[in-house]
Amino acid sequence: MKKSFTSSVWSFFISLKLTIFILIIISIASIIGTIIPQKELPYVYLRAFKPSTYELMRLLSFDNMYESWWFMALLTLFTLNLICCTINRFPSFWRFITQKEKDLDDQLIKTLPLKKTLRLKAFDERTRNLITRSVQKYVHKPTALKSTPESFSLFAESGKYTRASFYVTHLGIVLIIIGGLLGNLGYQGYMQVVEGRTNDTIRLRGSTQEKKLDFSIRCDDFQVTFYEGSQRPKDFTSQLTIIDGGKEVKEKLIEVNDPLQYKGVFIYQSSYGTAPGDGQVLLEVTPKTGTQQAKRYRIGVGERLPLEDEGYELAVKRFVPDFSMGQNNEVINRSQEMRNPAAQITLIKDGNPVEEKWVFANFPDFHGGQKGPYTFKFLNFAGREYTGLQLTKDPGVWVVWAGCFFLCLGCYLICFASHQRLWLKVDPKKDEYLLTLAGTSSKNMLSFTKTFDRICLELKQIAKA
Amino acid sequence: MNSSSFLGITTFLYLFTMALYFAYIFYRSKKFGLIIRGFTIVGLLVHTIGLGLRWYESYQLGYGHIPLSNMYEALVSMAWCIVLVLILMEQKFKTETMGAFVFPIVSIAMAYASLAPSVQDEIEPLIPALQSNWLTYHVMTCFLGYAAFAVSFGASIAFLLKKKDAPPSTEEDAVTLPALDLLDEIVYKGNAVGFLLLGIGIITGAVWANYAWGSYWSWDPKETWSLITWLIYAAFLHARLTRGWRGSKTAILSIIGFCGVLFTFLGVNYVLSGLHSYA
Ligand code: HEM
Repeated sequence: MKKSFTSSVWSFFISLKLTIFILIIISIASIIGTIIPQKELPYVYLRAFKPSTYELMRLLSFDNMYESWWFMALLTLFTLNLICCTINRFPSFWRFITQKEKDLDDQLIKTLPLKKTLRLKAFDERTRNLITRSVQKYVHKPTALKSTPESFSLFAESGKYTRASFYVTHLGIVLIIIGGLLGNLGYQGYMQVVEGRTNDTIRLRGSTQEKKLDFSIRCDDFQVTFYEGSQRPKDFTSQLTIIDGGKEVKEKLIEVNDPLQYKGVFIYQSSYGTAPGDGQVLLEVTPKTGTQQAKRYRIGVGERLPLEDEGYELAVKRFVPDFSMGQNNEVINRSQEMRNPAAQITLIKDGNPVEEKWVFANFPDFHGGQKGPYTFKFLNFAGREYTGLQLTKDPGVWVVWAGCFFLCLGCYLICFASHQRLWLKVDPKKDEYLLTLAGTSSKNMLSFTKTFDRICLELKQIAKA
Repeated sequence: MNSSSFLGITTFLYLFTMALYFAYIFYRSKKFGLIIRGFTIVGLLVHTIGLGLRWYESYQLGYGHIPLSNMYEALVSMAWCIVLVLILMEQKFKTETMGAFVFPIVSIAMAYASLAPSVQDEIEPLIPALQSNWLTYHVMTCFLGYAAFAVSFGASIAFLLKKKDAPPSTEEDAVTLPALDLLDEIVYKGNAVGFLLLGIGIITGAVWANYAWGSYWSWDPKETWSLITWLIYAAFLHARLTRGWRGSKTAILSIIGFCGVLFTFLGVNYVLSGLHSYA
């Protein structure tokens, strides 16, 4: 007979093979992801791969694997698999939990790994209580199954509900995955705020897209401290104020490892630097002819300043902290760090530009294309510092933490809690009584065996008395 | 005496203890047991003093951080965790020979830390993101987990060797190596403890990353590999608890798991790059 559609779908989702298959695929994908750099700009890949290979990689999202549709699909499939497996096992679990334990008979005793028989000279109310008590000392909740003056049997167990601990674990895993998928509804981005200024736009991580927030952030002060006698930063802090609807609503001094939280958005101290468009260039200007001394001028980026000589003016058109040349000989800025600071300056005579050139702080003697009557030296740049903030909104994070809690609790119970069961019965035999003790434990037999032996020892003493 | 001399002495004590363990197995003399225990504990004490001093010295230098910030400190702290877990496990399972299979790992870690030219033993300042108590919680739970895996790894090797060599155990044999089912139990218990600790370690790492960088999981190579390692041990536990695997099969799984640990702990630093500090 052909299986119905639903039942074949069901058996697909509950198969352990599927679980193993998904886990292996996820592992391989994760390993590839640790080898291929993720979320980099195209040129990083083009350095290592052919353009056609790169196109293929982009098509399959190998450059942003962990957020790709197929990785999400795998995680979803994994979750469904786990949920279905767990549901599938539930009825037999429920039957086990709700069943009444049988009396210790010959058939049952064969299945139990621990058993012991003792002889009792006499059996009365007092012995019965002593026996019950010594069992109770080690295994909780003994219940009498049968109790007549002549014979007696009891069953005791502890840790029955630890049988459910793998549900707790699996629930934890499912919650973590759901929380992780929910996290995709949030965002992560980066912004720079110059000291004293306000900003409300972030650049989203791994893309060139921007996003406007529904509040803005002002940086009132930025400080960085260094380890004594070195350039290694020890700590950096920003005094931030949140402005929402024109009002200052919150302020906090944030530092690395201590973020600010507003409207579910976490604002982290992430980096710092000098704002290139927002500082002053210190230039030394020496006339080529005559005996005039060199003079120093401080000029803001985008500003124009008259020199002492009649009719001459100097302007700073642009400043970059990390000068480099692009493929078409255009100037590019490689980073925000002061690795190769350079300024583009213009010499103006009577309102007309006569010379335009780049000067470099690291190469003061570089005089490419000197035309005008002056030599220029770029001495240093005094910029305003900006603070680099990372902003994160993750609506799934609490679901993930709840999942972590259940996962740990479940793992603890699975590894260290066991379901222990103990049966005891006393039957008359000729002129004495036969006491049989038998038991088993779902896990950790070694330590249960010790408990069992200890109970036997106590019972022996009772028997002797 | 500074921390380096204490740690140097520790290395020699451990090498000596390892030799004693081998002698114990070889001569099968019960008297060795107490002596070995004594040396192990003295070694751990000197080791503890060395690490404590190093911590103190970092305060004197104005850095003030727990010795967990570079490869040298990671290796030395790892060795400390392994010896601690070994002593606790030997105490719990009442064996005295397990160490013969664990001390080689400890000795290699200590010797590699002090001799390898690529491992710098200077005390370095921490970058701001690592200055957090979470560093201690996160790294210590992970390392204790790795240490439990290391002890299980030793027990797995012992299990396979004993299984191959010895015909079903004689009384005399029991002096030298724990019985097979005890070894099996140690493999399981160590991995279970390690699994739980590594799980907590990964989670504390996630909490910390969320606090410091704003994302609890960023698929950084170390994170990813620790997850893969953890999944291998999850497979170990499933095989044992749901499929009833025992003995050689689980011992082999346990060895595969430990390869994952080694790659996560060392391989990732040398082969891949990431956020983690002793990278
Ligand atoms: C991470 C810690 C985990 C622990 C400690 C754990 C523990 C357990 C335990 C104890 C069982 C047996 C339940 C029983 O027989 O009554 C079980 C079953 C199962 N677990 Fe896990 N689990 C974990 C993670 C996972 C993961 C990541 C998966 C992947 C999908 C998974 C899939 C399964 C499946 C499919 C079963 C049912 C196996 C069967 O039908 O025989 N578990 N788990």
